[in-house]
Amino acid sequence: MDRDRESIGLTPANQRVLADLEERGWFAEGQDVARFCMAFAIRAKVPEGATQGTETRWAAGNFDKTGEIRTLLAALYPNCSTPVRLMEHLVNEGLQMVAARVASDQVGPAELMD
Amino acid sequence: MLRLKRIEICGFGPFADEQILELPAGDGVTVVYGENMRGKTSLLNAIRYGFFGIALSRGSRARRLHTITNRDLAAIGEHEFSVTLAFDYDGDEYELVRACRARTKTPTSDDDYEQDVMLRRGSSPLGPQERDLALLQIFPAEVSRFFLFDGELLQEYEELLFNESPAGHKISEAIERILGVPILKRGRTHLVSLSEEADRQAAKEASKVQSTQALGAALEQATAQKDAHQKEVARLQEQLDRLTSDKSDIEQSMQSMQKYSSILEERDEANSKLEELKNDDKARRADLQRAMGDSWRSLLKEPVRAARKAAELDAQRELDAFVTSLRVKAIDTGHCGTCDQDVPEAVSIRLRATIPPDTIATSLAGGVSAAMARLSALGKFGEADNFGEVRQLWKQIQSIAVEQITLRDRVAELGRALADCDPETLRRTKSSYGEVVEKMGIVKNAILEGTKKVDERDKSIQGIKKKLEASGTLDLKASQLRAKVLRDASEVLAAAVERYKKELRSRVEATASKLFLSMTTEKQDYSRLAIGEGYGLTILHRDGRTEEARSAGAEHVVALALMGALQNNAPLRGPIVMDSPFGRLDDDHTSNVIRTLPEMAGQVLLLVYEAEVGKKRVRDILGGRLLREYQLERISARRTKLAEVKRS
Repeated sequence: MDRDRESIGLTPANQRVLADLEERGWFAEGQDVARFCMAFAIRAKVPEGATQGTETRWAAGNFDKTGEIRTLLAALYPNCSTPVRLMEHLVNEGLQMVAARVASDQVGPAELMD
Repeated sequence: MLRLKRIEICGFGPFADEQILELPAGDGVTVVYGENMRGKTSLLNAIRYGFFGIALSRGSRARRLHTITNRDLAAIGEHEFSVTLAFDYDGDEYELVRACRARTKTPTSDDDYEQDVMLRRGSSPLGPQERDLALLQIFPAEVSRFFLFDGELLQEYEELLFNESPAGHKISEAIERILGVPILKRGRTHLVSLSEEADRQAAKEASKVQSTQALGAALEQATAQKDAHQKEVARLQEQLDRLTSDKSDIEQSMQSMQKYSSILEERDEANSKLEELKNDDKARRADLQRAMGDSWRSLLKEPVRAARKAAELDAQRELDAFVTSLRVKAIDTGHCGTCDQDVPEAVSIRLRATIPPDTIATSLAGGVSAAMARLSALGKFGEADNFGEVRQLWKQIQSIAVEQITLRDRVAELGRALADCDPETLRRTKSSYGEVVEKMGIVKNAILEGTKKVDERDKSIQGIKKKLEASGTLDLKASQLRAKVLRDASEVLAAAVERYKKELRSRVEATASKLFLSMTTEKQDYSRLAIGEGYGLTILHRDGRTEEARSAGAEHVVALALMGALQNNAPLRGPIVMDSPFGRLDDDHTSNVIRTLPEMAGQVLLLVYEAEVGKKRVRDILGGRLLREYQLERISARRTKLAEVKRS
């Protein structure tokens, strides 16, 4: 059984995407962006996976203080045994998807939620 | 009579390199054609600068020197400019050179410049005092408005119709100045002071003789007191004149800045609205950030609901399989493990009928099923739906952004319109106006008081004089007679001045009427112009009534008629230089005005753009009275060349 991670990291490309989304002033902080992007990926039915080449950004305990996200991921991805790694993967995938959407359609936060 | 011969301009406005305009001798019109931005107004300003050292911008405000310099030259650090005017006046040849150079590398105010003025009569340069005196005699600045003008200045003549208007009063004074009235008024004032001096002399004579000594001393004292009060009244009157002039200047300045005032108000309002919007935007963005912090829950609402539904189905399926497995076991063993009773054959048959074919018995032994666990996990998810809130906040933020862009554009546009105006000056002007009006009220009251005292002293002087006349010596009688003669002479001169002014008015009225009828297109309806006390002109219809509602074009024609009439009746005569004077006139009026130009003054320099009036039309109308034509040719946006138009 794979060992799960204790922190959530971003790829260098996604660090830039996060910085760009933060600059837009839609979110109060980077973790809010990351959570939003994770949800965006889940809604888009991104399958279970892992992202390589990440640099640590947040401690998993801080990112998901109550464990609510881990519980949810366990329910949505029943075969997953490494929820933090999955969480990281979904955040990274979500950042890419949101960046592509924002760049191509010039959309705002409301449109992203459509 | 003043007659311009040559104008040389260098570094002034768009005239970067030296440009020379030669004005032919003889009466007639010289025309300079130039499109907008080519330098017609700069040419007019160059003449104004040459004579008076000032150039005017819109609203008759003096232009700052650093805005006069050619911008191309200024860009390479050359800020010098000069104007040379060659002219004839009363049989003498003159050359006036006014050169301006910067004291600093990048001048930003008039203090950064120094000016040199040289006036040469014949071949002799005049000293500074003689030069200033000669210039004052040749071309006083107060009457320049009748020689150098544009459409905007012409509009001001409408003020003459309103007797109480300070601006109208100022123009009336300038009209009297060009017509030579002040010199007569000064003569009368001089006679009054001589008669008063004679009164004082008579009082002294009376004091010398014992029989009239007491009366003489009383007269001297009363006269001294009257003098003191008169001096005070005169001082107050001077103060009032200065205040009136200040008020008039401020009013004029306020009028010219009125446009700026409303622009400034609008800009202040727009800036304050921008500040409000900035705060609104900040508040909305804070709300949006708060909402977006929870938005991941909204995004997951549907996926979680779907997963929950799927988990519920799975759980139901597992429960159904479990119940079936219990039934199968009861049938197989003939005993129900749930209620611990044997199962009769009939019940067993009935139970068998409920078992679906291909049933796989499931056991739940060992705890909660996976589906139930998923269902429980999904139930813990804190669902949210703030999509509507995010959408509304984003809509508000976008609408604020659009409003901000529109307002910023407007503020920038208003800022450009205010480029030539200092908002602080504008605010100061408004407060100065209040102060001046207040001071005027105080001074007026003091003048009333002083005049009352002068009258009181005058009454007692008259009483003493009567007594003296009855008992005076020969010397005293001679002094009294001299004073009386001087007083009578001053009264005669006062009446003569009034009569002269009346005659002048009627001469100006007659000439203006002639010029007006020559220029108006309504000759069949209008009979003449009528002049008022303040030289305001009204149009009289053939039915004898005054034309009350005058169009902008009619005002323009009346103003031009007044200009021409003043030129024709003034002792001081010179060239008329007109900058784009046809802006408010239709084609027929324009043609009529051009036709009338040679009647308005001996020398006319007309600055026009060709869309206003084309060369062919000018030539057809003026014929032999068109002396020469020039064209302002574009070299670049900042450079213009003056070229003579050769006629084939």
